[in-house]
Amino acid sequence: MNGFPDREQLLWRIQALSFTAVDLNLYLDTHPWDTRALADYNQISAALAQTRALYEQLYGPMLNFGMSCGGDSWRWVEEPWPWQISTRRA
Amino acid sequence: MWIYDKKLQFPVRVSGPNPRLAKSVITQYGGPDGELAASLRYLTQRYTMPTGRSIATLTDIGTEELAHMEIVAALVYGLLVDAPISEIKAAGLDGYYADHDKALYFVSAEGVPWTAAYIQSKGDPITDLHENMAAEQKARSTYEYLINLSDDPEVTNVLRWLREREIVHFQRFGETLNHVQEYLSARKVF
Amino acid sequence: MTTGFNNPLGTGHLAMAFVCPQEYITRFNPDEGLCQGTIFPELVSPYPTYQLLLRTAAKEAQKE
Repeated sequence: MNGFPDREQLLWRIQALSFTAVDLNLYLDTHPWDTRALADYNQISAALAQTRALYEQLYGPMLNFGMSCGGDSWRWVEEPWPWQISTRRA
Repeated sequence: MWIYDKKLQFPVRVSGPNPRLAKSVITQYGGPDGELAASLRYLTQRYTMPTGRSIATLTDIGTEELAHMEIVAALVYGLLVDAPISEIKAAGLDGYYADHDKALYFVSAEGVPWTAAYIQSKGDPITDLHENMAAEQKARSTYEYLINLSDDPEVTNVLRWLREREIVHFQRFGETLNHVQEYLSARKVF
Repeated sequence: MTTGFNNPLGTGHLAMAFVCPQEYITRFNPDEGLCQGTIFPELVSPYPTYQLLLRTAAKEAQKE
């Protein structure tokens, strides 16, 4: 066991945190006074940023246009792109 | 402006090539009640919404619909990519294949090309919000019909997920309607 | 004013739609939320219903 979760597991973790942030975001848009939801959102955002940083270290940037660090080589162009992952069957 | 997040919002897998199913699923890509229509509808209506809150909701849901459009694209791509020509013909996709090979194109289940006639941006925010609530119900129903048609449990799982998002969106548009109606009626008191 | 976000608009407001606003009580953890398609349990609305799924599974088990 090398201490890093596998790529699919790490990606799922990011998808779960990111999705939680989206659902909280939509809720906050119609309930902007809800401080508890806001605290939740901030906590999830922080965890998401951490998990993305780990994934990006291993697999390259997840965001374009300056939102992710570029690294030592331009891995943004690497495959797989998201719909290509979907067609990899065991 | 928009940036791109290099992941699907929800993971997509297919059990195998299935052009027949792809022919139906593609309607949520380029059809009247699909994700492109939803996304462009909300993103174009948002310019004339009366409050920051309503603008935020339309912007955020419109952006999420682009992510759903990508999920539908991933489904259709996965169902077509390894399909032999014989199956494509058997599915009645000869015409689509002739025009597009296995590429993604904006058509409905019957091959009708996407049109801006599918969306309205009426300017009146109450009108627009009702349009959006109806759109979410139409999308929900379409996902239910696709679930009825699907013979691939992996695809069904994704369709169920997309359907649930429509229900959440309906709720948010409803809350936005409440807020806009209150805002507009308060402004009439002078 | 008693009309507004948290209260039904009341009998004075004909020809106006109103959707009950959601109250955030609890949410799923991120993994469960992602599986369900929402983090809010009260917004989960399965199709087909769980009962139908159980009946269908029972019927198929009988056929085997």
